[in-house]
Amino acid sequence: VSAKRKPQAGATGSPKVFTTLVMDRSHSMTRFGGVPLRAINSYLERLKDSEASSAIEVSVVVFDHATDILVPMQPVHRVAPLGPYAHGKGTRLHGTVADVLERMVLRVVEAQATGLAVAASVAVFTDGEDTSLPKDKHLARLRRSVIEAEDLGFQLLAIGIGLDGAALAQQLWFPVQLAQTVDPDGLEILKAAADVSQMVEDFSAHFTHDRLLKVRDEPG
Amino acid sequence: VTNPANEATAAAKESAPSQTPTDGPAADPVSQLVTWLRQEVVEARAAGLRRPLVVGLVGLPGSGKSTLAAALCAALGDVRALTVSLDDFYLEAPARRARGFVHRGPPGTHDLALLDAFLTQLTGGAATLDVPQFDRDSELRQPAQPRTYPAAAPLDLCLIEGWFVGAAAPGYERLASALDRLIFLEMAEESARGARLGREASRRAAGHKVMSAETVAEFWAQALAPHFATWVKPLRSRADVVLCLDAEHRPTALQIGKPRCP
Repeated sequence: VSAKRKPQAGATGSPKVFTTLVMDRSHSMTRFGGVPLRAINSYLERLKDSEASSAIEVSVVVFDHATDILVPMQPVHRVAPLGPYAHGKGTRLHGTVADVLERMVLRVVEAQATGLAVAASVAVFTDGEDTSLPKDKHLARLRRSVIEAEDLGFQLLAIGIGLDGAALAQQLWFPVQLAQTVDPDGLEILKAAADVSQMVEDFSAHFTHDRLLKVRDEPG
Repeated sequence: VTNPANEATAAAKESAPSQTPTDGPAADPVSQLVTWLRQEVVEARAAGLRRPLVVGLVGLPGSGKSTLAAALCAALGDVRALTVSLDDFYLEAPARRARGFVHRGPPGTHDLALLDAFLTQLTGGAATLDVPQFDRDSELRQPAQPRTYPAAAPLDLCLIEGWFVGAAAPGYERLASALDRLIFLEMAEESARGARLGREASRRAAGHKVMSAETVAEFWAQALAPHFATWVKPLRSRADVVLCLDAEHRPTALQIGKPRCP
């Protein structure tokens, strides 16, 4: 994907927003007990209740040394609350984000090719550094996928739990101005999840509203 | 519902070991598939491949992969072939739930270390393969079944079947790259869904411990179907062969090279 595809002139049909929540489940996250799971479920609930919910499709991905897609991309109203999961060793941060972005880029490009108006949002919650070996093995792929995602107008949110969100965003090449730093505290994580779901809601609502106006303004 | 395995078995009976790809246009799709597989094995050996040819068989759940794979192995006759199901690599229930998956099936619900170990044996040309076994009722791992192939009679072909075999889903990249060939079983999603739900109903009626009809439908909609567009459908264009099935599971066409079903 090299061409700028952000403006979708001529896109038709109901607009759609693909969203993915990426949550760290490395061992260090066990200090927060069931809070990350509650944060995921409250995020899903808020999107279900949002004004743009009919346009929102959601996916939930968790990672430790491996990456698991706990909720494959589907309309948010269809998603049931997640059950508890265990934590593992390692933090496959860069590889996971690269995997997610690559798939989202493909999904968006394919949808756009069929004339659909689509946007995408990815939020990454983590409390640690990437531990992949060899060090930085996924960085080139991550960089490439972020460039493609930015090209397509993705909303990219980095949330550092007990670590500097801006530094995390820089490390992931996400926009620093959208990054958040969260104190390593259960309540703060839940608040951050609420903030992030609000940002995704706003992004979705603006996108769908804009698309509807454009469709209305288009001749014929 | 006609099971593709029955079609394949019937085809197998008609398929002589000496059959060549130049068989006339009257050959049915499964016989053609058997012929193609045999030819691929012969060509791989002639090209100096010193391990089994590894062929993936992919298609939606309910499309009849495992029965077709077993029937193909039987039909290949003089070709030493082994069928392996991705289902036999499932994590046991507690380990699966610990990873956050309620039901088995989607990417992430398999024991990837076990899969890697098996692939190492397979692609390394090991004389003995420990083929994993998984009991679906108890959701417990069973002792692996050792299969020994002496140097004088090595394994020619390993068919690995599963609904996203060949997809580079997270953790499954090695399996995807281990495949020498890929067969795509094409069936309409609604037909496959009907077959999958029907199979579950039969197992329920036979007293097996299975999900309720509602849970199966929910499982299909939430945990399986959303993966199809990502992992299964793109494999069609990458497959070496596409076997098309109608709504009654009858093979209707076999497309080799540039897959296009009517």
